[in-house]
Amino acid sequence: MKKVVGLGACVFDTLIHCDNYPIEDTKQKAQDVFVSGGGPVGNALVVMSKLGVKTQVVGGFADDSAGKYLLNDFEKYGVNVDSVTVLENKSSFTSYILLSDAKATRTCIFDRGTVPDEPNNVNLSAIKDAFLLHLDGNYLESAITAGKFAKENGVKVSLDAGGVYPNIEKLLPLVDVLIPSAEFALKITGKDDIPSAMKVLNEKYHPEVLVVTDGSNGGYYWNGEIAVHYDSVKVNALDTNGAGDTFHGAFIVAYCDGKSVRDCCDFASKVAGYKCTQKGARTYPLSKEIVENL
Amino acid sequence: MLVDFKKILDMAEEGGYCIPAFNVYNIETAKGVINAAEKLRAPVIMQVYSRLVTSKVAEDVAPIVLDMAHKATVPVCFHLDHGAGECEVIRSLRMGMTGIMIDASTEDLDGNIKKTKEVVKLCDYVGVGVEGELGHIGKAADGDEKETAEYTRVDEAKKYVEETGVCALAIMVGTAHGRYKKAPVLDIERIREIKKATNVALVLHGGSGVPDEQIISAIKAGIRKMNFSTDLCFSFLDACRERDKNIVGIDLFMTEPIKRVQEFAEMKIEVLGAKGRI
Repeated sequence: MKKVVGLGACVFDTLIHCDNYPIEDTKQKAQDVFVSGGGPVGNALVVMSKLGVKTQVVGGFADDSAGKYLLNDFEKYGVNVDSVTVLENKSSFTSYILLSDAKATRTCIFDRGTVPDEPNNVNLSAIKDAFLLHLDGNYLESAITAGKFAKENGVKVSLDAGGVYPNIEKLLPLVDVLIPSAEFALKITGKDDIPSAMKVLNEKYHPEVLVVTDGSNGGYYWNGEIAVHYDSVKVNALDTNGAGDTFHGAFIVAYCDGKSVRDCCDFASKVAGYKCTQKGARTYPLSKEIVENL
Repeated sequence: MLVDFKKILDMAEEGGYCIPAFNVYNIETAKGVINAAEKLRAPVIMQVYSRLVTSKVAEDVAPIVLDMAHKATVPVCFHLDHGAGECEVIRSLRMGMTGIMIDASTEDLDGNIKKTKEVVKLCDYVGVGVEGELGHIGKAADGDEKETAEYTRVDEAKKYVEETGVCALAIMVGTAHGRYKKAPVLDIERIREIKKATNVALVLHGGSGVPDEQIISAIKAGIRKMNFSTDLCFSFLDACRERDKNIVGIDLFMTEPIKRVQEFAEMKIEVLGAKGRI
């Protein structure tokens, strides 16, 4: 079984479920409040694990209650945590997410915590026998160190490029599977449309796989010559939080199975669409059987 | 063990010797080189020519070289030879190469500096050292030795190194790629002057066929990496051509070509002073 190792933001989310987005300087009753593990890499690893891929998380975790929750949560979903580095007197990456029923939106306020971007916190030996290293651009110096080690050991590197973090371009030469958001692709290339941005990204970095996601509009994949559009799966969205991470996790599952880029996009769209019909980024039921029966 | 380009060059600098860089093409040539390095306890560079990256042959060779490098008990650097452009450089980084050469030597000085600088910036992101080239090293078959006016100039080398940030510089001082019609005469004094002006590891391409005494003088003057491709190819191909045609098992057939590559590599390791350094 192929193994995927993840390094990036693993976030302790507090989700506040409301009928609608509140008006500033007012009080509003929540429908419910719950906590969950989150973050692009963390959520993607959980999706992969549920869909039958062997997964492992590496990097530094705070020894606070949120950090302990995150590690327990990973274990609950079958993500191996044996190689993480637990750091004393540090605080976890936390996030408060307001889920609005009215427009099915999610609004996020986060605190990065105090876990340092320290490459020594990454247990590189865990990457050696992996098929793929999944990154999200957080903890950039650690990501570059891990990415370089991955390449020296024949391990593929994928990047969920959501935000244009400072110096993120330093990581891009190492990335085989580059899947930025439309926002990232347009901003980093200075282009006005996704196909033009993809042309620039392909000419500059020549990734093996290049896909740009565009939320409910679907997205584009590079077929070797041009950008080709793929559709999202239309659903009555209940909760979109974690849908993008789910796309990335499912895409990697299909990629590990040796599927074509087009098929990977279609599979990932299907799983991400299904996720939007389910509450929570991780707690909803998901398996290969469920996806096959959708 | 797999090591970075800068690290292996530093070893040569500190020890006052030269790292042999052998072009490899398949399992057998890589095996011959590794066998020689292990036997003589020498650090080596295994490199693939840019053409193999463009054609994607290197995608199949790279895992083999990396595996051998990781298992080796001597330092092994995996290097791109004559990188044709950023595309080849990025693909090579993703194949796990720990050293990169960019060859923009057919450009004028400013064009060469500009192109090399971009590659150094890119490779610096991921901590990989870069070899540049100044003074185009042509093919011996195209007319052998160049006029000395075409040799690398000391002042240009200084400017090139300062402005690009390369950690190694391939220079034109009388060698050419391929087989020579007559033995080349290296400009040893020029090597010494370029070394003094740049203080980076100097590289001699076209090492095949250069008389040993000239190689030794070049190392004393500052050469820290020397490339061997043509004669390694011939050592392999000649052994294949001479092999008993009745041997059907390819593994058995290849024992002699591997041995001949090993013998060639051992010979060069000794001449370069890299023997017994580990």
